[in-house]
Amino acid sequence: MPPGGGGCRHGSTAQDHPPATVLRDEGDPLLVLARLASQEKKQKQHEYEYEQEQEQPAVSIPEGPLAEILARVPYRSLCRFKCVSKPWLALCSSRDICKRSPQTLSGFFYYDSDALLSFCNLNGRGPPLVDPSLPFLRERYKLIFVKGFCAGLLLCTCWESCSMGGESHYVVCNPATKEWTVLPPIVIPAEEVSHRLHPIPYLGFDATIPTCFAVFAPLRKGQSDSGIVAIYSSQTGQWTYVQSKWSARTHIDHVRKRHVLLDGTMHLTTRQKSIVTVDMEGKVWREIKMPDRLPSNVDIVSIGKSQGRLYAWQIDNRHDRQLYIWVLDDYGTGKWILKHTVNVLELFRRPGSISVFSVYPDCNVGVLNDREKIGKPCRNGYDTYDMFAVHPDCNVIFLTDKKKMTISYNLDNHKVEIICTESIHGLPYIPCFAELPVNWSLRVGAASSTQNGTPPL
Amino acid sequence: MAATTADGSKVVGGGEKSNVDEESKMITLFSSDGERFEVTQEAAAMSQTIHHMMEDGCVDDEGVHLPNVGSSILAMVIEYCNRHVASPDEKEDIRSFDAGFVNVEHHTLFDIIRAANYLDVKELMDLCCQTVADSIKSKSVEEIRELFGIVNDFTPEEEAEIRKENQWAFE
Repeated sequence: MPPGGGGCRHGSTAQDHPPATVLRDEGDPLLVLARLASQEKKQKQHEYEYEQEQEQPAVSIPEGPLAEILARVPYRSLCRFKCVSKPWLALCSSRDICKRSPQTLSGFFYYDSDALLSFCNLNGRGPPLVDPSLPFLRERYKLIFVKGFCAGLLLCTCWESCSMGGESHYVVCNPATKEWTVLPPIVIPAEEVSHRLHPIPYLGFDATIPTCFAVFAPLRKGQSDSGIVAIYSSQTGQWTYVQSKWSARTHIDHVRKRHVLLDGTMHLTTRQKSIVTVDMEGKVWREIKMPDRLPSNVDIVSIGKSQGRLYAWQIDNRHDRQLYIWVLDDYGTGKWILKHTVNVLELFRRPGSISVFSVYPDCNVGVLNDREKIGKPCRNGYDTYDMFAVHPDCNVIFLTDKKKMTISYNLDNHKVEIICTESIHGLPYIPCFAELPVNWSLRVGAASSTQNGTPPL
Repeated sequence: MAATTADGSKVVGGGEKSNVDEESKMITLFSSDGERFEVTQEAAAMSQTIHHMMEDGCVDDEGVHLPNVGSSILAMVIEYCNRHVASPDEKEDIRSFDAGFVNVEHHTLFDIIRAANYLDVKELMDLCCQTVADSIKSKSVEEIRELFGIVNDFTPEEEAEIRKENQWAFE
């Protein structure tokens, strides 16, 4: 129910319903002040407007409709508008408005050269939107290891003690709202205990359906998949254990761990030029094959989601560093379309550094590839490039040379922008202000005593 | 579009004078400055406020008084409602009508929003709020203050603090 919607029912005075401004940090004096000021101001505004209506229209808008407008403003603009005035600060910080405000890619989580979890804003500048040290979890957990991300949520393995020898929990958290929930432990089926199975969890979350998330954890037996997949659904709050119906020769690429949740189905990449999928209930299993002739000889692709479609790509790092991007055109038949082919080398040579085209003005692509004729910038011949993300809402992709540059490239207008001069090999973060879906009382800090193995608080 | 009948009242939109049919039954609306508007009940029902009044039997023979809505704005709202009940399925036409409808100055848009809010016409609210949202999303803080007539009630230090916290949004 949108805040502040609806006019009066009967009678002659206009009275907007007070907007449901839910503030997370209620104790914050600035916000309390803002709330009081806004209520006072709203009261005065009603009286003023009723009198002024006959004369000239007032410039301002009452708070109810203003909230309706702000809820449609993208989140980035909302954060800017916090500076406008105290009432605007309260509105722009309000959870209800942030929840409705259109969210988009804001930055990337990645592991830096010291293997520390870091966050880079989309434009590469300024203090990070999200504190990657996840301080809201630190009150309870001493050791936190982020296992995966999906859109606005993170999946972590956490230890309350300082050593990994103790018991660990799977925790799903939302850095925007600072909410988190503990998942029950995965219980290895009795007959498999001796096989020392270990789970590799993949978090699935779709911000357009924020009412649930899922965790898919294929259980590995040594170096291969056991065929058992544990699936956690936030709707049931339980793990279910299902037998995989993918073919026996399926090898999921657990190294790169590329995964996409699309239409309630988890997609994982394999080492055999295909993508395997399973739905949240573990009932529908599919394998989507990539086109037979992949340009490089590498059988693994990366996947991502953009504009509601599944994207797959790979860079031929062994030869000409061409990037091939496919889009799954027909989900039912598994038909791919090669949408874009990009010369990655050319992209990285464009910004800043000595352009090959300026040194040799008559260069063409043929000469570019001829390494003997062109004095290459100081690099060896083994540079590898990676496209690590596609923008969820538009035709922009993100690439890194894995050494000292990360760029974005607009596939429509061919514009290259440098994000930062460090290699970010991360996953996209899209803030989400919806309530973390849990179906029992396992919210911030509280643990259910009915859980197997979870220590009560 | 508006015709003036013999008694001076405006008939806006496609209302039938002889109203045997329930749907084409007319209802009179009075703006804050005393102007009369005849609308079909169907169009009037797009306003939840008026709709509830009709259902609860609060509408007398005279009509509905809307002391919060001036005549020029009420005429526009009625035009919107008439258009939307007339051919709700012609999406393309409606889209281009809507685009033309909101192509007005900001203060008129604000007036329409206030009227639509008071009258509780959800579609019109959605349309206008989205239009305003789209037009302000790239504006600077100063431009917003000017547009909405807002006085900055932050101290320079307070504003600097907020700006710093949200640095990423300013770049």
